[in-house]
Amino acid sequence: MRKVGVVGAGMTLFRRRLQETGKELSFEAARMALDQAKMEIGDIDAVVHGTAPDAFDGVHMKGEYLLDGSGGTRKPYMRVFTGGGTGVFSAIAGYWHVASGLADVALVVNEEKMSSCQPHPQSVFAHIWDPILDRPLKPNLVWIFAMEMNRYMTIHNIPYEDIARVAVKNKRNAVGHPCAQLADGDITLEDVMNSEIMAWPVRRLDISPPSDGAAAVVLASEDVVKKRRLRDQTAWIKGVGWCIDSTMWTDRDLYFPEYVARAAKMAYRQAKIDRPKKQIDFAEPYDPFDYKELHHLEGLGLADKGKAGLMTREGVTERDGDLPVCPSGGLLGVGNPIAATLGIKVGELYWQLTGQAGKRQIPNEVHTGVCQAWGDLMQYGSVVVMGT
Amino acid sequence: MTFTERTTDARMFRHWPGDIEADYIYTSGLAGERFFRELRDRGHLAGTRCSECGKQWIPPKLFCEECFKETHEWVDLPRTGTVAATCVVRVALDGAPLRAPEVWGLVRFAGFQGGLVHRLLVTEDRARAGLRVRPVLKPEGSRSGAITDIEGFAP
Amino acid sequence: MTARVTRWPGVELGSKDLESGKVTTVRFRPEAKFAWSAGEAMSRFLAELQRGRLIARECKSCGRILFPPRMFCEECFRPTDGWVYVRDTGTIETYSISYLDTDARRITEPILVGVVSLDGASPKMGLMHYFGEMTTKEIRIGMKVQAKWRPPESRVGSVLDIEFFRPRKGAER
Repeated sequence: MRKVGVVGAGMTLFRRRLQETGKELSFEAARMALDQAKMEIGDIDAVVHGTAPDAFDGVHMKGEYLLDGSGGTRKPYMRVFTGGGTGVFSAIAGYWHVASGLADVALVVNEEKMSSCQPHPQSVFAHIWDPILDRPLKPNLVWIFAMEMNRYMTIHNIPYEDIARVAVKNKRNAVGHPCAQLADGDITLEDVMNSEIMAWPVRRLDISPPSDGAAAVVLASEDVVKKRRLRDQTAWIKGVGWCIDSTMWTDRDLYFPEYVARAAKMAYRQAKIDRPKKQIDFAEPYDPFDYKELHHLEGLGLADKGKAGLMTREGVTERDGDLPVCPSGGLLGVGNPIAATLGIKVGELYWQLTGQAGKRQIPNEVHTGVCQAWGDLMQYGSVVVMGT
Repeated sequence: MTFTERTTDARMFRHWPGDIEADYIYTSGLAGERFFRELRDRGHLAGTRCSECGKQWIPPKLFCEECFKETHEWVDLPRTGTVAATCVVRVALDGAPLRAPEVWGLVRFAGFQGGLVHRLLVTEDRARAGLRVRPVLKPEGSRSGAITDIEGFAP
Repeated sequence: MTARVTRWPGVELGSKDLESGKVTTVRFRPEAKFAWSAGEAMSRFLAELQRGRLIARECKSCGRILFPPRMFCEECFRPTDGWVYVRDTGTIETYSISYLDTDARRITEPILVGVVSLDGASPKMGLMHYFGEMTTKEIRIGMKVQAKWRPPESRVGSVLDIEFFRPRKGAER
């Protein structure tokens, strides 16, 4: 397989409601990534578009609808979707195109326009439930996250304070992100711990908001990087992994994300990483809820089971700590436009590794990072390792 | 090897009825906002032009599909267009027959890529490609900034 | 490069902007009605619920008793071998105390909901359901519970033929 590098990235603001159509959002992110990569649409051999269900934007066959804004007109094009895992998975699908030799340059564009859904995207999320087993109980999506969080906290005896601390860290980190929806430099632990209970143990400030937004990255082969002299702005993809667990989530013990561990194992093996705690310099795990950052750090092998909370407590995961986690501000601070989180996962790794993260730049030198996304009914893990 | 047991009496099968509830508000977007405001407030149609390749687009696009660059110029559509294709519809979305057939067409405009799909305000026997048509708008007070501000296209 | 970008694209709209007509919009409500086929396994599952019983399937290859029942074992990837009844008693594996209803509206009386693993099925084979006859202080992971069934004439072949799971009498609470 060929070596593949990320040579440019772009994203729009993440907000609860943006005026642009999905096509326009896709264009804005894609254009920015192309400009960063110093390329034009004619340089792109293939396009991958990642986006969550058609039901959010309210446009059937959304992949086809968004393709012109993604630069895919009359090109090899595919739309991928793996639930919340799409934010990292679409970059993996783009990677396949270039690593295989089928394309020299691939453009990956992810978009989400959840604001179309009335009164709240929640009403569409509701259809993820099994019609016979779950829907008659009139469930709210927050219930399953609450159940997973409860199981995780109870099995390991983790105090809620250790979980809430993640929300504080990420919302504060997000102050350095120009696109952030929920940055808050003044937020305190008390603010989070006293916020209203949605479905115990989940409280309002434990959750990331729905958002509109788009993000894009340009992937190029080593030859292209050499020919165009892009080495200084390239971060290489070292390993990719993805895994999904059964949809019968009531049959699984939710305290540990097995599917993330397997995806990470796959990516680490390719990246020749056998001691992730030592060899990974910083991480962008998926944090739609504060407890998920901890849950995923354990799945990624960056913390022992039940111990990730200690790392936040001790400041290890702050931007200036030994293992910065979510230096972007994560979904909790920047926003959660599902697939467009590409910009704060893969995009953040790219900007940190190439020294372009501005106010968010990690002060210690970083050479290897891991990003991860998570999706569906607590099922999906996608992992990408990148390095200089 | 398939299931070890299989029910063959279809009356034994259960179904679970339900619906997918969803409700949507779509914004017109940045290009669409200007297009629909011009239509609603000034009663005229405009498209965008790409300054790189010169291609003009209707419906107007924020970006040129060919060059993948942002468009910045707005150009009025010619006052008439030409019907590129027509169809006559006799059945509603739910399958019920319509009381009177509806004539629909794709209208193209000289110098512009694309076109508009809309009602053709002609009887069935007069519907044909090649007809020169102009837009017929709803009265100013009834326009809301939507494609339905155009009543249809007439010869 | 990126650090020097001054204008990040995106035009924000406020919550009132869509309703107030500040920007042009179109509304649409799709009509999508479904009749989901319960299939081989779930048809029997629902029929048994109507009779006041819980049924599972056995995979002889891995030895698991699978609940809810399915005609193929997803781990061995082969057809399952036979029907097995499981008991209507079990253990709370996890739960939530919800102050939100299905439309994300706040409610004052919380809903107790969670996953029950059922006795007779393989470990951790569970069902999501309501919990009742217990307070928010009493509910805990590990509690032994039992189904409270609706009267036979009210059952229709649905998971709601069980009203909720309640603390099991005689079992340690």
